[in-house]
Amino acid sequence: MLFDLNVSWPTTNYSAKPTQVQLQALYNTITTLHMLGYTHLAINFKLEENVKFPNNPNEINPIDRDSLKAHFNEKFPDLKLFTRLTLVINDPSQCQGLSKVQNKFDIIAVEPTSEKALQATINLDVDIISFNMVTRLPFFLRHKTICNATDKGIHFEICYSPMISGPAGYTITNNSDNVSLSTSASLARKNFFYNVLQLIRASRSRGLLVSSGASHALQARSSMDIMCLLKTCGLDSSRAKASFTDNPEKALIRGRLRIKSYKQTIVMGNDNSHSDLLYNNDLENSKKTFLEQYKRPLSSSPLHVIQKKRKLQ
Amino acid sequence: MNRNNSLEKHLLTRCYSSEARIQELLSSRYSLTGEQKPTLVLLPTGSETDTKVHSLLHTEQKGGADDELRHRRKVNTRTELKVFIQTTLKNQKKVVKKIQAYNREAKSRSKKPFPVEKLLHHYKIPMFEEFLLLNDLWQKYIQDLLLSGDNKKEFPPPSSVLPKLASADFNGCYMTVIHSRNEKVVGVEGIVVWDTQHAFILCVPRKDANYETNSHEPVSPSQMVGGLRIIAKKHTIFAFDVIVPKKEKSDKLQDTEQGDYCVGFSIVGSRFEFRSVDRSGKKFKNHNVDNIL
Repeated sequence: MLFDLNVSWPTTNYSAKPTQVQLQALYNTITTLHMLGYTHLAINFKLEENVKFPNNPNEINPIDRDSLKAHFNEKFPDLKLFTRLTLVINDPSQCQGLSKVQNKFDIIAVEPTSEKALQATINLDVDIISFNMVTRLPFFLRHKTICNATDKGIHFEICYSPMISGPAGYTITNNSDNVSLSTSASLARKNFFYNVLQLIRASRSRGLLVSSGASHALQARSSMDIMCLLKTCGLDSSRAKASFTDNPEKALIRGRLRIKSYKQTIVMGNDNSHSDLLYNNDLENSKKTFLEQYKRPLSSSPLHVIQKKRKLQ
Repeated sequence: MNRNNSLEKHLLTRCYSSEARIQELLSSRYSLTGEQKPTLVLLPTGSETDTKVHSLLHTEQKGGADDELRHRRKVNTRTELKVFIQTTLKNQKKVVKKIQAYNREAKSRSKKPFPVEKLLHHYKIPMFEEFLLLNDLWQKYIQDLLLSGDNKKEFPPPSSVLPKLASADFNGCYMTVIHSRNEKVVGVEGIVVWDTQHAFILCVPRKDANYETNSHEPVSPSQMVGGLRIIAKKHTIFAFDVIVPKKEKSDKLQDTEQGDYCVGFSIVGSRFEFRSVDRSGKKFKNHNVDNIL
């Protein structure tokens, strides 16, 4: 099972609704990722710091998972879609309460842009911390801070789309015949590798996960490409592989258990036939109540053993 | 002193039946004003006193009654349960060994089914059927705990159900192991006999040798014996179902189609490693999920 926990949702605020063209691009991206072998995708809704959550609890999650699911259900029955919220945090004092959104999104991620924000977010109940990899990080990643978060089960995201998007390709500069990358793209790539190396150093290659962050179908990459990228950065094979299999699964479990369980003790539902009990959301539907989702006839539960015995007595 | 000696009177009624005698004793022997000191003349009640005079040097030579008392002091439910579980497991192992030995020999001889029932009776191995009543009680208890509404037939939202379940009692619950790092215990199902800090002790049903199973695997000796299983909670996920009784008054037609239904839940064993007494008042917290699976 391959995981990609960052597929961009077209809008980044509550006022605008995605247009048909944007939705089509999203469909194409999801299809491409599925063709590349990814089965668990999280649609990422990125929110800037100053945007306030709407008061209506039904409007907090703009991602229409039900219709997305209905669109892909026939073609790709094994495709699992989740929703994710990424909050950009610059000043921790202005951070909005997470309790309001916690039950609305499957995964909660934060993107701290200052060292103060990073230290504050570690104490929050979040699943993923991601950095803006395009610009050079304005602070030094300290091992103690990063590993403190890793020990708590928070994962750090390496999002590879900024590296491959932008004014990519080769452009001829200075009227000479020298072929070189255009400045903005080369700078983005340089910063990306610098930041990834910093993150790997500070986290001691633990608790990393790779995601696409793709907003266009062409930005999706196969798992072997990611392996290649991470090995270039100095990760060993097993850890590189874990960054798109095991680690995202753990992040997903952590996020889903917040909704599906009471403090990770009792989980709703007990169908583990695909060994994804802790995070599956097949039964969930915004229109159905909890009981309608999880009830089932008595004959399908193991309790019928007891019923049988009782009849014999 | 202005007292009516009610306490003394009550004590004396234990020893003397006639009211007149009690009054006389109280006035003559117990008066504070008379010459004699106030004494209560009580007769021994209950067990007979030991008339034998013991030597002070030989205090250890006491009768069986005292020994029994001392023994009873040492025994408590906790140790008894421990001994019971240990002896049962030992006996189960013995029966399994006997079946295995029989199976080895039976290859050459004509096949006659092994008399499992007799041995189970001999070794007093707990039967699954004995615990069915406990399961009934548990289902009633959990329905009382969870269901709300007038008539206790409605299922409240998960935000109120799950915390209640986290501090509920699970003795008597019918559980199935659906995931574990120890793959051998996956699929074990039975009624919880005792909920310890680090394990659930389940009583599992027996399977007959000619039990028709879906898989073609033969029934193993331990499956034939049944009895108790100790399942560690760590890295294990247990599943259980809560039966929701059907609404009798309304929608009679629909109910005949649907019948009873149940709602499934599962327990994350790694987060459940508390004694049930401690768990009832525990404040749970989210942790790193590495040790769940």
